[in-house]
Amino acid sequence: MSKHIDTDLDELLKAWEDTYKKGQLTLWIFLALKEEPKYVEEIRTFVVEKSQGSMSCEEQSLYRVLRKFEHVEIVGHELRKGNKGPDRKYYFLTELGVQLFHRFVERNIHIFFQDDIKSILV
Amino acid sequence: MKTLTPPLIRFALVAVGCTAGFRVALSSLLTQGHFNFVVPVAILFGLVMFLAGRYFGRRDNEYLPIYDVGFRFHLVTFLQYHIVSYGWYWFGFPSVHEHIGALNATLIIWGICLAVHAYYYVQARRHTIKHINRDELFD
Repeated sequence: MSKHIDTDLDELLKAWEDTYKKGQLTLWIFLALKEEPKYVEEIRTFVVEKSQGSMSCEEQSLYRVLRKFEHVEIVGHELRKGNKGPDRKYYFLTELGVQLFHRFVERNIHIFFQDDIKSILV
Repeated sequence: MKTLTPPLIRFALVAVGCTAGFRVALSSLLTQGHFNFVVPVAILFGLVMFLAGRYFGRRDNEYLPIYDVGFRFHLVTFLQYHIVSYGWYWFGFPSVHEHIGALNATLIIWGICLAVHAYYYVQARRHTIKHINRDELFD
């Protein structure tokens, strides 16, 4: 019986997380770039490490997302010398991107820091 | 010009090559009197263009999901086809069986179709932010 519940719980959790994580990558990329400009591998490492492994992303997916963000001018890039080989693209948040991040956090993240919500979460 | 993506440019180059090949083949066949081959060659040209459009269209979407209901590819196809065709007619070696009237008619009919497509493109742009579909921008 307990095994049955565990299986249900795992399946339900996975289904919820799959849906929940779909829109999360943007926030993690913004967090990575808000900290400081980064190249793609650094962004990927930041996302995996800071999300404690709950988020993962392929480099190709990151490039595609960053191209979209550059296209709508919320992210920019500059070339800097790499350790070896060709110059690296360091991505950063533009002024528009920073404003967007702050507005999003204010409306969607700060609500979780209310005392009554925090007490429920704990 | 940000919508002029690398896959679209590659498609344009392939399309110019295909159209130039088609015009040369068509003129040669007509000049030599091989009229039975004209329709198969035209079908082959259409098929190759369709496959090229589908291949590069998918690559384009992977590169940057610009939401234009295929209008950029249609516009490029239209422009290159007529530039190559009129160029061949005026500066190349067209057959005596090829008349400018057929090209003009194609330009007008296709131009009307392109205008209808442009209308849907403008409608589709309402659901975009800087050409990217709102639903795909942060997915």
